[in-house]
Formats: sequence, structure tokens, C-alpha cells
Amino acid sequence: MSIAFDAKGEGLAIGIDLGTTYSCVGVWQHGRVEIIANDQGNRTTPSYVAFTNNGRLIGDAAKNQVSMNPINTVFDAKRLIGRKFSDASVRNDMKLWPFKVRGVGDKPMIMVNYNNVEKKFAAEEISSMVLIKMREIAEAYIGSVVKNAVVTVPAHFNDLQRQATKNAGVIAGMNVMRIINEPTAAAIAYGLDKKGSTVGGKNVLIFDFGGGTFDVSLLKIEEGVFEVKATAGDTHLGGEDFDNRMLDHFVQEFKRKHEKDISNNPKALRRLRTSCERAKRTLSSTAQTTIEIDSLFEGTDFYTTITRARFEELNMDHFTKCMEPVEKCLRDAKMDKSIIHDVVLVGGSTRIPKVQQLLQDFFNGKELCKSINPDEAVAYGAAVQAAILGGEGDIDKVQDLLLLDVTPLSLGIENFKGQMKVVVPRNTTIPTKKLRLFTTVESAQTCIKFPVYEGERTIAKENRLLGTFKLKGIGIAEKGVPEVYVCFEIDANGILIVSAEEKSTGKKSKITLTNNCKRMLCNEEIKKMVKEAEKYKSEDEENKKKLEAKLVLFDYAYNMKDTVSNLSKLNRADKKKIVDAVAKTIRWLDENENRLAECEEYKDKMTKLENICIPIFTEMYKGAS
Amino acid sequence: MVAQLLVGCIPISGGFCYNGASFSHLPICTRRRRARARWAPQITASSSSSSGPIINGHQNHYAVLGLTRYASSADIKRAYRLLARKYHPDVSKVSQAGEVFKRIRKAYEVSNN
Repeated sequence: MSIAFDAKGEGLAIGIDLGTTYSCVGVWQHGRVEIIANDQGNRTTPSYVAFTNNGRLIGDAAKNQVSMNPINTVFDAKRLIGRKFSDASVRNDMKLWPFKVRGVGDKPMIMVNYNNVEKKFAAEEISSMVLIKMREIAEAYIGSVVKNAVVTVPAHFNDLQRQATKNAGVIAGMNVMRIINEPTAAAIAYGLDKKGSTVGGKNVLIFDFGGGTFDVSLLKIEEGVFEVKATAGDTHLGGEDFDNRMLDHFVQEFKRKHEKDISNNPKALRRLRTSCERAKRTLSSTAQTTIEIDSLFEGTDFYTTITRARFEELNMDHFTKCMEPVEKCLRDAKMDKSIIHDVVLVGGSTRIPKVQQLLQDFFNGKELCKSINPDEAVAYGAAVQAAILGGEGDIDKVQDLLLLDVTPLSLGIENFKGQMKVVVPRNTTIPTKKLRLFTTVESAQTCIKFPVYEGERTIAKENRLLGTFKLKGIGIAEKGVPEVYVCFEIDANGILIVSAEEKSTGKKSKITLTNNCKRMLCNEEIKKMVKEAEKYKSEDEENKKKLEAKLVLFDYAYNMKDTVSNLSKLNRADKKKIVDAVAKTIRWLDENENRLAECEEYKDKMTKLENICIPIFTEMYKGAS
Repeated sequence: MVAQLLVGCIPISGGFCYNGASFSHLPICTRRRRARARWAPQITASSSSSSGPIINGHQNHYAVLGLTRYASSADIKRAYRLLARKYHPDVSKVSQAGEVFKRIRKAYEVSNN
């Protein structure tokens, strides 16, 4: 909470939807949210980072060159963030990614070649680069420095994934005021103008189906209070999975038709994947589309068609899987589907007609709400929350708005039987504080270990271990006598602090579940990454300067070439001198086309060229006057 | 504050334990029923020692919401919403807002049941 107030006087706070495939940024200005377009004029920016020998590219620039440089173009960082290298999902994703991922102490690291050097990056670093890009987009629009941001995550992200996202913000040099859930943010976008309009409140189901994740949240909106009743979802299901299915289908087809296997050629796979993504989008509005790729593999063209029916058949299991969280969400909120007032569609994948149809059928033919922009709603809500936390609450519209979010997963402690003892059940409104009493199981036991888990399984080991701490120095007593209070405290940011206190001795021990697991970054590592991020940024700036110097030289050389060829007054010897010098410079530029030389080199060449041209022209004009 | 939160049923269970040296999972030993009976009065005692309008758990929770025990479910919900909008740490400038909100939430959960 203090963070929110620190924000005052530090410029506007922005809302960032950090997506798996695309990201979006918005700001509250002049009493409304503005979704900010990037330098290409696009309101969403691909969450892509490319490493080349001429520097780093982020966003559209990175995605546009992906088929030329597939192994050094990183995307899907959100599918890695806060996960273990040994996770099944990481293993499966790795098979599909053209870039290399290696495990360093069970933390997945992305390996790329940057400026001819092998580099490894954590998912947090890649996400931080995307965040930096989004901030720059906002700064260009607002015209001042932006320090504070609200960043969104899928509602079903676990604690580690949230922490890792927050760390990405730190590495990007930002103050992440709050991590909020994507469907909740979308609910704000939906309900901002509707708050308080219905007596008795409105029950709204947000169906958020994006590029990489899927969330369902059920909210009650009443008198400006947005209370999340339940949330469910899948952190690994989205539009990209449909692309993958299609890609697989076409790889098989190519094999069948041409007896050639393209599955080991990253470039061909990437070109095919890009076409698949486009085809998928087209199939949301047409029944059939074509894929035409010239010289896809070993000179063979690939022309084919795909129908919507075929696409649906390929992904049917994914689509039907989407309905389970909807049911679970209703069950958890103890609501019947008949009392849902609105079903709101968010995320690009909700454009798929089959998804809409299944959802509509589930709600017995209820009309789905498509009134909000599915690509921008999350950033919109994040921008509103940023305005509230940034203390711009004097604005009428956001003044009475309050977001009451919940913990998506149950939190608890493993007991001596290996069972999960839930202390904070899932869907508990945060901030919250829950106490539970524990005791020793052996006489004269002086130490208790508390492994903190997150998840819904009754066997603790099947849940996710967040961290472990010990309470030592318990007074010697019979088993079952010491009273140890374990307190789970979650603040409004969803940060969990678990503490234990023994009554008789007053011994205390606590754990803040941040950076405590091996796969999380420790403070030193973050500091190092912050430094590196700054270094990359200055490198980017340096590259920009080099590029500018190159363009100046380029311009000058061609300008001289043109001028000289149009000048009749110049004597032949002088003309030749200039033409030769210009030709030499252009040749040098051509030779170094794929490499950025140092600024000095460009300046040096420029001076040399000027020293030849300027005296000749001065002489010529003198002669003329 | 702690006393407040202790009001209501606190489950007691055997903790997962290990003996400093051995690291072994130890056999079961709980006397839950006895333990609960033994500790229950202590909890009540600690709550009554704290400040505030506490006579028993229920009345206290109504008082937190500024209501009487005859308040309807709709009243409770409405009071909760108003207080939440005032004291949630996102919107309140009060330094203890987080704690206050947790108390309001607790009171709402208990009295709305």
C-alpha cells in the first residue's frame, strides 16, 4: 500500500498487459483510458525479442525478422517464467521452440547468440525487455518518464510466476505497483461504465482466452465494488497451441505430398507457423483459407487449403477442455449458470466461432457479451487500476471503484503424514490473514519444519512447494503440548508471508515467499540483471547512434554523387576526384552492410569525404562569383 | 488484532515435524480432541482481554461492521461494501488500512454465514 502512495509525483502510472504472444499498454489520462499505439501504429506489440549481430530488437521489429533469424528470436517467455526446467510443460514447449533452452540448476535459461557471443537469459530478462519496450511506447506518447506500472498476469499464475513477473519489472527498472489478474482487469474494462447500474449487483463471468493462457473468473459487480468470487483456468492453453496443432498437421501433409521432412529446419517451420497463425485468424471469419509458401523447403513450394471444420477438428480437445474451468468456477462460487448476467469475451482466441458456440451452448444459448475489445481490455483495466493506485483517485470515475481479488490456489502446510493442511483456501479475498494451530508430534521435539505448498491436491508433494522454514528452540515438552501458531498473511499484492510462533517461549520464525526457491532469482542475481539490462539499453542507444552516423554518411555520399553529376561548372579533374571518393565510400558502406561500424569510423569517413568535397565546391563558387 | 483473529474455531492438527538430528518423519501423535478442549478457553480468554466491544464472537463482528445483531443479510453486505471501499489498502490512506480491512472482511465472513 505504501508503494501506491510513493507513486505520487513520479509521473503517470501505466497499465501493461504482458501477454504470451502480444503485449499492450494503456494510460489513464484526461478522465479516460488511452490504449497506446507503438511506433508502427499497432496497439498491441509482439512479445518478441531478437538478438542479432547489429543489436537487439524488441516487438514488431523482432517478429518481422523472425524467419531470417529463428534461433535467436525469443518469444513465449511467459511460458517459461517462474517454471522449473524439469516441468513437463517446459519439456514439451522446448520441442516446439526454435531457440535453445538449457537448465541451470533447474532454472530454464534461454541460449542465444548476441553480437557473436553465446549469451544466456532468464525468462525474467526477456520479459523485462518487453516491459522496457512497452514503457518506451508509453513514454513516447505521454512525453515524460514513466516509473510506475501495473502489470497483469493470468489469474491462475502461481506465486512463483507472479514473483518472477514482478522481478521482470525490477530488472526493467520499473516500480511494479501491483500485479493484477488479467480477467479481473478485463472486468474493470467491462464494468467501468456499468458500475452501480443494476440493483442487487451483476454476476459477470469473464472468459479470457489469449495467446498462451486461459482464465475464467466470476465476479460480482455492485456499487463500484468488483468482487472476484472464484477463478479457474489453465496457464498453458491458448492460441499458440492451435497454431502448433496446425503446424503439425501441415508438416505431416508436406511429408505426405513431397516426401520431405521439414521438422528439423527452424526457418521452414517458422515460415509455416507464421502462415498457420494467419490462417487461424482468417478461419474465424471465413470457412476456408489457403496457405501459399514459395520455396518452403529445398526449393519445394507448399500450397494447400484448410477448412474451418478441419481446424476445429484438429483442436477439438483443446476447445472442450475450456469448458471445465467454467464449470469449476461456477461450482466454487456456488452459483448456478442461470444467474450469470453477462458472459464477457476477452483475448484473441475468443474470436474462434467454435469456442463461442461451445460457451453459448453451455449457457443455454445466452448471448455473449462482445462489447469490449478482446485485445485491449486487459491493458485498459490495468491502466484504471494504475490510476487508482497512483492516487489519481480524485477523478470521479475511478474514485468509487474497488477491486477485491482472490488467491487462485489454496495455500497450506505439509503435515507429518504428508498431507496438505490448507490454511488459506483458494478464492479467499485478499488481503487476508489466517491462523492455524500446530503442535509437535514427538516428545522433547525442539524444532518443527514447515514446508509451504500451493495447490489443490490432498497429498502435499503433488502440489507446488513454495518454500520451507523451521521454527527452532521450542521448549522441551511432551508431544502435542507446545502450541505453534502458523499465520499466513497475504497482502494486496498477493505476496505471502508465513510466520510461526510458539506460545510459551515466544520463539518466532517467518518466511517471505519471495526469491526463496532455487529456481527464483536471488537479490544479487536481480541486481546483476538490472545492470545488464542497463548495459543492453546503452548498447541499444549506441547502436542507434551508429545507425544514425551511418545514415548521415550514406546520405552525404549519395547527395554528393547526385550533385556532382548535375554540375556542369566543375572541371573534369575535380569531378573525378569527388566521384572516386564517393564511390570508395559507398563501396565501403556496401562491404559493411551487415555490420555496424563504430561511430568514429563513420565520422572519420565523413570528414575525409567532406575534406575532399568542400574545398572543391568552395573553389567552384569563388570562381563563379 | 491477534485476539480478534483468534475468535472463532481454530483447527488444531499435528505439524509435520522432524527431530533436529534425524530428519525422519515421525509417527503420529495427536490428541486433537483433548487438545482442542484444553485450548479453547485460552482462546476465549485472549479475545476478551483485547480492547473493543467484545462480549462474544458474534456481537463483536457486528460491531466491526457498525451493525446490530438484528441486521439483515442485505445490510451486512452493504455495510461491508461501504467499509471495504473506505478501508481497502488500495484506496485508503490510513497506515493500518490493511489490518483494518482484514478485520472487516473477517467480520463480514463470519456474520454473513
